[in-house]
Amino acid sequence: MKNLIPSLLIIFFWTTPLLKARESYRVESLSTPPGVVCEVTGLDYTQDGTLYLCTRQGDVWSEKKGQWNRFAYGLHEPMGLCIGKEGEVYVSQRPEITQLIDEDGDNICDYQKTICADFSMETNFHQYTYGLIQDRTGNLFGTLSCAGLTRPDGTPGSARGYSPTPYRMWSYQVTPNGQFIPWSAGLRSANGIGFNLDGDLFAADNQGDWVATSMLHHLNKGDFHGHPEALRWDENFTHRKDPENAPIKLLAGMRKPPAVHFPHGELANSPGSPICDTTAGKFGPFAGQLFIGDIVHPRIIRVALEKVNGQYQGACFSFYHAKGLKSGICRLTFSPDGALIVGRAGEGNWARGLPGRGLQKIAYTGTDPFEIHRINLIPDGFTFHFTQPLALDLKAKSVNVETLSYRYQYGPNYGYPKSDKKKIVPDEIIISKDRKSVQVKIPGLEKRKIYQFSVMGVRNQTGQSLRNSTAHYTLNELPNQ
Amino acid sequence: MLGNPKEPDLSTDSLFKSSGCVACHRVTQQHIGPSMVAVADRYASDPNALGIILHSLKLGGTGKWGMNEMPPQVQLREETHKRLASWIVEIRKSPKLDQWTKDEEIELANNPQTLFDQTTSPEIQLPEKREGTVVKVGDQPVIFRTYLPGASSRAIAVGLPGNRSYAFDATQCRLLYFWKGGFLDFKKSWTGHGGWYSHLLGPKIFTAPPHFPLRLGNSEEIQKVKFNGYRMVHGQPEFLYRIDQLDVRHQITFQPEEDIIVQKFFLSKTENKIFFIGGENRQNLSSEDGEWRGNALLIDPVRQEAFTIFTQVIR
Repeated sequence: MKNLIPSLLIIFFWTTPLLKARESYRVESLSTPPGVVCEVTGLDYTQDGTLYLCTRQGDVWSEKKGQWNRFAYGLHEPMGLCIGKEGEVYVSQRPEITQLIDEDGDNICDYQKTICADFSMETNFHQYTYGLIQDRTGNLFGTLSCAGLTRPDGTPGSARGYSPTPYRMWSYQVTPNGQFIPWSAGLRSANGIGFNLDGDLFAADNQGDWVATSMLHHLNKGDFHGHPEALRWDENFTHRKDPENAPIKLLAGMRKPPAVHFPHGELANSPGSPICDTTAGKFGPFAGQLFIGDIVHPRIIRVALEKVNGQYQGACFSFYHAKGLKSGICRLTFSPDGALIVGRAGEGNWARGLPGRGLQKIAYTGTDPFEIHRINLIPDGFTFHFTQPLALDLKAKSVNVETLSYRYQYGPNYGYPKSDKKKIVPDEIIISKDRKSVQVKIPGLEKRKIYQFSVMGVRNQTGQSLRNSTAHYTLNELPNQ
Repeated sequence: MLGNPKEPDLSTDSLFKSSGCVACHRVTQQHIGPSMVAVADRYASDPNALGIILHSLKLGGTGKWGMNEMPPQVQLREETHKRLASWIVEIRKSPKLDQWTKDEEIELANNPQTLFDQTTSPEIQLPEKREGTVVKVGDQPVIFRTYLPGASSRAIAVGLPGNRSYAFDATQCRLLYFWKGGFLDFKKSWTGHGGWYSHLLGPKIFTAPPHFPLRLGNSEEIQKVKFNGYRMVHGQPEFLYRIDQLDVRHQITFQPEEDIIVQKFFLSKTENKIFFIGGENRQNLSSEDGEWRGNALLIDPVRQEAFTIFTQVIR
C-alpha cells in the first residue's frame, strides 16, 4: 500500500550570477505528488522531519527525503492540518476536526477518528473550517468561516458573510477531550491561525463586508473582532436578533481593533495563515516575527509586533514579492532546516497567474538582508531598528522618512478605501549611537491610525540601500506617559 | 510610495493591466470574468453604460455574467474607475483591438483551463482513479466525505467495486441510499468556489426509510446518536458511532449477484433490548438474528453484539 514516489527539486530561480551573491533569500519550486491536483490547505512537520500536507481535494500526503506517500484521502475540503505533540495528525475538514490514525504501521491512515463535530456546518460554499494549531496542553484552535449567500439553486451568489447557525464567524477551541468551545467572535473569513512565540493566537481576516482591509487579529478568549453577524450567538449581546443593525457606536466600542492592517491591493487581498519564525536565526534576522502569504498576490508579508499598554500592535512589511514566488499562497510552515515552505491553494478565481497551486520554498542564503527589522512606538514618534548598522558617514539630514497617516473606516461596506489621509513631515530624525536604529519624531500622533513610512536615504556600511523601504504601522494605543 | 498610490501618466491600456483587472479579465476573451468587449457590447445601446460599469468597479458585482463574484475595486481611486469605465465603453474603437485578439488567443492556447487536468498517475497505486473531477472506483472500496444530495451536510460517499455506491449520513449515522453506475463527479466541490454537491454518476436503486433504524429498550424511543469516525477493516469502511452509552460499529456491503445490501452491526454489551426498525417495504428485509414484530425486528439477546440485516433491492 505504500506509495513511494521519488521527489524532484525542480527549478531554481536566479536572476544573474552577480545578484546571486547578494540575494538573502532564494525561491525554489518543490515537487508535489505526480498526477494529483495539489492545492495545499494545510502544512506541518513532525519531529522527525516528515512533511504532512492536506489538499482541497481531501488528500493528505506525507513526504520524507523526497519520497511521497498518500497517508489519507477522501476528506471534505480540509482547510488545516497540524501535527500534535505526540506526532498525531489532525485535520480541520468542513464537517469536523479529525485525527488520522495509522493503526497497523503501514504509513496509511486506517482510522479517521472524529475528535469534534459539535459545531454547525451547512451545505454552503463559504462555510470553511479553517485551522489548525495545537497548544502545549493539547487544545486545538481554528476559525469557522461565514456562510455566503447562495442562489436558489445553491450556487454561490456572494461572499457577503452571515452566521446562520452557531458558531459561524467565531474562532474555536477544541479541548483534548473533544469539547467545542467558542473562543472569539466576529471574524468574517480568517483563513488559518497561528501562534507567536509567546503562544498568543493570531488570525488574518480577509477584506470584505465589515472588514475594511485584510487585517491581523490577536485572538483572546471573549474578544469581538468586528463582524456583527457573529454576535447572534452571544447571549449577552443586546441586539443579537439583528446584529448588523446594532448602533455602530456600540459595535465599535466592543470591537478589539486589529493588531495590524494589511493595505488592500498593496500588500494583500486574501491573506492565509500566520506562521511564527521559530528558526532562531536559520531563516535570517527575523526570529519571533510572523510571516503571512496571500492568495492573490505572489507575496509574503512580514509582521513585527510589539505590545503597547498590553495590546498587540505593530508594523508589516512586504518581505518577498514575485521574483519566482507565485500567488495562491494559503499555508506556511518552517522546515527543520529553517526554510519557509509555501503551500499554494489558489483557486483559479483568485490567484493572479494560474495555476495557483503547489509547493515552494524560500530559503535564507546566509547573506544578511539590510532591512527595517522592527518599528517601535515611542511617546513622540517611532524608533526604526535596522538589521545592520548604518554607514558611519551617514548624516541624519540625508535620511528622509516620508510619512502618511490614514485610517480604515469600521462599517458594513465590502471594504473601505484609506481615509483621513495626512502627509506628515517628521520633526526630527536622530541616528542612534550604535547606528542600528533611527528615531523619527512625529508631531501629533493619533490613535487608531495607520502610519505608512517610506524610508529614503539610509544605507549600511557597505553602501547598500534597504531591501524594502516601505512599512505600515498600525497605531491603536499610545504609550501611557 | 506615499500619498495616493501613483497611477500617473499611464495609458488606460496599462492601467487595465496594472490595476489588477487582468486577474479576472481579458480584453477580447472570456476569462474568469467577461471580456471587456463583451461588457461594451452588452451595454452598447444603454445610455447608462458608463454608470453601470462604474457601479461594478466601485461596489463589485455578481449575477450579471455568471457565478463568479467581482470584488469592489476599492484600492483604486475614483478617477481610475472613471478612466477604466470610459475605456471599456469605447473599447471597440481601439486601434489595438486586433493585436489584443491575437495576443489573447495565443495566451489562451498556451494556458487552456488546465486547473483540473489531473489523471492519476499509473505509478501511484491508489484505490481510486481521478479523471479531471470524476472519481472512478477500482477493485477496492473508495470513501469520500463530501456534500451529497439528499444528505445532511455531513455525508460520506462509498464507491464499491462493481458499479454500486452508497451514501452514509454522518449526522444521522445511517445508510441513506444506493446508486448504480459511476461513482461521483466532484466538479462543484473542487472547482471555482467549490462547496457544493458532488454529482452522482448514476440512478438511485435503493433509498432507506427516513429514520435511524436502531432502538434501545423499546421500539419507540429515539436516542441521540453521535458519529465517531470510520475505520478501514479488511478494505471496507466500518462506521463508528454511539447511541446513548452504546458503541456501534456498522458495516455496509453489497452482494451483486442477488442485489442484496448487507448491513452488519456490532454493539457493545447492553442489558437493553435492541430493535431494528424497517420501513414501509419491510418485506424486503430479512435477518436470521431476531424476530419481527410488525416493522420492528427484536434482536435475539444472544446476537445483540453482532447481527446482520439483509435488504433485497427491487430490480
